[in-house]
Amino acid sequence: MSWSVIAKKDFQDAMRSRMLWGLTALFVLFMAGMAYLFQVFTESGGTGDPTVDTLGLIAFLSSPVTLLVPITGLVVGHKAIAGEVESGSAKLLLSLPHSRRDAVVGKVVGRAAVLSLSILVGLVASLLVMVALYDEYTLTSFAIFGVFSLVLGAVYTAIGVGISSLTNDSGRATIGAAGFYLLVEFILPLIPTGLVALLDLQVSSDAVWPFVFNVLPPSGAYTFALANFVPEAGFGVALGSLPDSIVFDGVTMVALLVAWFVLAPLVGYLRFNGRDL
Amino acid sequence: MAAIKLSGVRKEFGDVTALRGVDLEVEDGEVFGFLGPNGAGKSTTIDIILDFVRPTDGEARVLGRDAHADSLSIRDDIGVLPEGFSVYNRLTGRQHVEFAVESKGASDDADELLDRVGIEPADRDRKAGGYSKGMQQRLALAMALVGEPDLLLLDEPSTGLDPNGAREMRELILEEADRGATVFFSSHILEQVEAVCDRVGILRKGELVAEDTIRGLRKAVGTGTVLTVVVDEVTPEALEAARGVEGVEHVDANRDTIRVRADSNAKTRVLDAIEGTGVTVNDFATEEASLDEVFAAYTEDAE
Repeated sequence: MSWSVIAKKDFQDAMRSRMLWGLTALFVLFMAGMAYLFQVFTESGGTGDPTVDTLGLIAFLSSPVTLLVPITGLVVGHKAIAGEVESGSAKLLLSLPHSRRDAVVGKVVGRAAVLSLSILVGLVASLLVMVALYDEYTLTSFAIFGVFSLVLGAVYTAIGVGISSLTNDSGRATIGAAGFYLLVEFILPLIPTGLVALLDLQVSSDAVWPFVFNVLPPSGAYTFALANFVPEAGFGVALGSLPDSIVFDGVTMVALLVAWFVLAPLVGYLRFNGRDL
Repeated sequence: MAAIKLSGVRKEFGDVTALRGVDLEVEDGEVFGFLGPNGAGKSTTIDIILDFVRPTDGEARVLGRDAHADSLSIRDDIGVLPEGFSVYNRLTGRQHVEFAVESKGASDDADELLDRVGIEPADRDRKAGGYSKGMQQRLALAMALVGEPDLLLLDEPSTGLDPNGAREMRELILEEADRGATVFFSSHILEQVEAVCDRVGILRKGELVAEDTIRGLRKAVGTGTVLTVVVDEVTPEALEAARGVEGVEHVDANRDTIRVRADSNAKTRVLDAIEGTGVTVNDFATEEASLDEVFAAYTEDAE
């Protein structure tokens, strides 16, 4: 259980940093601001649907969430290990009876807790706006949206820590995190289009494989998960028009998010464990 | 049981060889000084003992356990003051010690430990990032003392400490030794070691060139005497003449003084040789070789 001691220390450390408060302010502004904007926007007729409700808000929020949450997650996580090794505080940490595995796990948990707290405060602020101003609100849908947003934050924190564990140099960790985001969130979904163009492929309209590249990135899995679990919000991905396949199942999305959360730190740990500090 | 036992430990970083087959044994309960100039491989050795770095070849055992495979259980029973560490800037001194206590599952009182290392109550709840280098060193020492470790591993413990702090550090080392702990500490300054060490090892360019008591070292080097000769003028001829005398090991000079390290029975011959070059000797004194000279004999002469 030594990871819990590290997680606690990391959290204490963050509590005293401006990072936690900055992030919290960011998420409060973002979530409550978006909730308010959505109300203004809808009432002026911008969404084509005059009801100001939670489902509309979720559709409205989910896309910016897939931008903001992954980036903050990577920012929070990517210096966790590399930064400590570089500064020399890792020498204090690993002189104590902590395995490198506990160091990685503790960092993931501690930093995910920090980000989750910020997101949670933002969600609550958004909820308050909703309760105060909206015609209708659905707490269950909002709760599901909230849980997946927290999960996405934890997944990206874990990915950040995983990348951080690959190197002793925090500059390289930053480049790695930026590269990961670009590669997985932008390049990966473009692969099918690229393949079709390059190889002159004929893709039948019910082919499933091109969608695999949309589902694989964590924010893709997040969006498809919301489409599955809050179908009535009916945003972005209209599941009904897609071929019937396990690739689009809610369970698959949960499995993918869990896989990212576990595998990214695991790969980082294996590299970290095998190298000299 | 040996507290630390290194057998044929080699470490290569790329094409640089940091350690060339080090054999070293630190007995249970002794205070062992690990000496060597900067860059000799002291920190690499300690990093291997701590499993921060894995040896290219050879075996390291600590408290009878394998330094790599059993690292976790080893670190439960040792206290470490690492070299070149950095504190957690935003955590207080007290939080650092509490972190170490929780990490070790110990029950030490943070204030008691901070008392021992001399961090004032007023400073304990300040962020450690604002501590001076010396205070950070004391703080890391407090963390090392958590849980009454069987073995204390101190890498350059006097770094950043003023002479008074260095003295307090030595007192703490002796207290810990009296409690029964084995103390292994590295230094590039021999004087710091003399007062506390039962035995010392000297590392030079990745090789252990000596492992003995300080008295034994003096004897082995044979640097019985240092002759200090005050002259009216230091001339190259005078230095040359002194170097030519049988039994002389080392000659150096500053403004008006020639220092000669030699067998004690060579004294008169050295004086005669210097005067023989026409230089006037105003004064001279002999003293037992300082540890610096013993150290220098091991780390320089072989070059």
